[in-house]
Amino acid sequence: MHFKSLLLLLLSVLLSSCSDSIDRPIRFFQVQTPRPFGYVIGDTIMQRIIIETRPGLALQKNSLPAKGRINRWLNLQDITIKSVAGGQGTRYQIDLVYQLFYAPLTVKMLETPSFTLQFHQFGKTIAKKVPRWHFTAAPLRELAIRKDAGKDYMRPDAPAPLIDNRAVWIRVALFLALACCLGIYLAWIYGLLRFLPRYHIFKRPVRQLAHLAESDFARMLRIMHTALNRLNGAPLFPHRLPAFYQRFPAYQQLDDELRWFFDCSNHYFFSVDSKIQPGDDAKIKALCRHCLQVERGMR
Amino acid sequence: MLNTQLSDWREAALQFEQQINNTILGQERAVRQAVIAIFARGHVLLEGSVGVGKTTLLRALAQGLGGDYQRIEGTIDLMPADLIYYTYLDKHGRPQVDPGPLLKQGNRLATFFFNEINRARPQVHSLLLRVMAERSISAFNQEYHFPHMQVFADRNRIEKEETFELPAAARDRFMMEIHIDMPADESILQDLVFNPRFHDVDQLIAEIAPGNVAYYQLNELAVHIQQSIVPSHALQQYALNLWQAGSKPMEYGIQLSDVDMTELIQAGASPRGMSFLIRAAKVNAWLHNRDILLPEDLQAVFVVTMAHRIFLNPIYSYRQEQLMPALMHAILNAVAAP
Repeated sequence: MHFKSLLLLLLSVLLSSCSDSIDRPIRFFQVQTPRPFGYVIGDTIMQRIIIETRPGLALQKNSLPAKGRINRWLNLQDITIKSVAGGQGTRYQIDLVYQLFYAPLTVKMLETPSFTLQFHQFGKTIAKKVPRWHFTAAPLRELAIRKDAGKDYMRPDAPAPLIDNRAVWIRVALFLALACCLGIYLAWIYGLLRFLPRYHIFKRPVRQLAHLAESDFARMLRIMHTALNRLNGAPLFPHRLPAFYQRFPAYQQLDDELRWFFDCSNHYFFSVDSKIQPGDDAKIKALCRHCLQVERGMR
Repeated sequence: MLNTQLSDWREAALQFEQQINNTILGQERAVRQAVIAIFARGHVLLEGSVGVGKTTLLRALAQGLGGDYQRIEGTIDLMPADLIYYTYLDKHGRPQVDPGPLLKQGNRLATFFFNEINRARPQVHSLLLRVMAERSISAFNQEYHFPHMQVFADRNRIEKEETFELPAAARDRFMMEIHIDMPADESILQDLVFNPRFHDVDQLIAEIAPGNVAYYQLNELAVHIQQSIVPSHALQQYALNLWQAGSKPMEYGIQLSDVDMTELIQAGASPRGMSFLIRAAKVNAWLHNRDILLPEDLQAVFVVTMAHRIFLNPIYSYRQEQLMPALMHAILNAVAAP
């Protein structure tokens, strides 16, 4: 009795080892397709192929159809391959996106092409055919002209709603305005706003005076005179200072310095004895800086 | 002459000016210009409306200076000989020849006032040319010299009929052309009209103490003033620029409305005119107690010494009264110093 039972068990084990389900290279194959009807020109059709193979069996990707034109009316727009390897083998998920360019005049049966997937292992190639898939395409246009019903043959599509981008534009405008303000401020700082005659006069003289020493006293005086003349719009002389202050009241606070400057300049240029006192050059530079501060409203 | 003496003279000059200003109200600017002309020894042409005080001003100046004073009225029948002599029959019925207004006082003549000079003929103007330029005249086979004479002439700008415009050469010999305008201050006008002090001109003039500034010392004083003030190189350049701007205003960026600046000027100021400008400017500096000549001294006398010696193109002469002040103002605003 025991012997019979053992024999039966051994036989069943041997039979099970002979089963092809263990050695079958492709254990699962399925083509998932959408509805097979109601397609019009321009529609996309997604076909998903799911394959489970035994371990080590590799999909030959060049066996897939190439992206691009399949035939006169069908394009393969996209191919996505996902593979997940596990102990039982590899699971492939292949997504094919076709786009239809067929404009039938009546409902017409069409088909996606068949192709053969190839797998490779140990120098051997295993093929698996993906069958054709039939679907029907419908015309986009009406079959009969119904002018008698007072209707147009074709009616335009409803306009697509636009994406609300107001927030984006507001941000763009705000940042542009900020950039402009910064640009104008920098231009003002660097004295580039030449069209604002009152606001760029003393910038350059301050720089020029900074490089001059007491030995260039005549040049220093001339630079300062030129700047004041430009501001005044006419040569400025000490007896015209009251009229100058009426036009530019902010400079009234520099009255003492300006009067000293004209007195110093008169003695230097117009007296026989052109002596200068120590520190006169520094006073002229200070006056020019003070004028720049007044010009920029910092004083 | 010492600096202290120059200083004393300045005090006297300022007192003299003050006296004139007390007599002639509201003409401070014109009085200052006349005082400058006196101490710069230049002849003066006065221009203004009728009855604004031109003659009174000149009489007041003559009274203050002391010395002899002569006056002649310009008329259309005035001839040069009328200035030199006049003829008449004496009480015995014999013809007599006596010196005319110019010769009567000899070298004591200090002020010669030619009223309404533009009514006199050009022959009279040319006689005056020599008198002003050389302060001498030939008559009765001899030379007469008037070393202290200063000519003041006036012309009114209202009437143009039967008048003779002064030739350019005669105008150029006047150091200044001073405009006498009516005072703008209402209180001064009220005083002039209602204060009896101003009704009797003779009495008003008599109030001025004569000889405050001795006329016979003025020539020597003027030389010392001119020598005591030496213009610097920068000021000379400024004066030359002013001169150039008067001849070629477009080169200095001067533009007047509705004027082709290339055509505006027929002739600019003469070298003599520029020397008058510098002389007058030095006196201005002296009156301000300065021994250096500044641009503001030139500016103070620029218009009165230059405006009558810049000649406009005839096509613009009918706008002379409008264009000349604008040109003078533009020149002063276009030329910088240094």
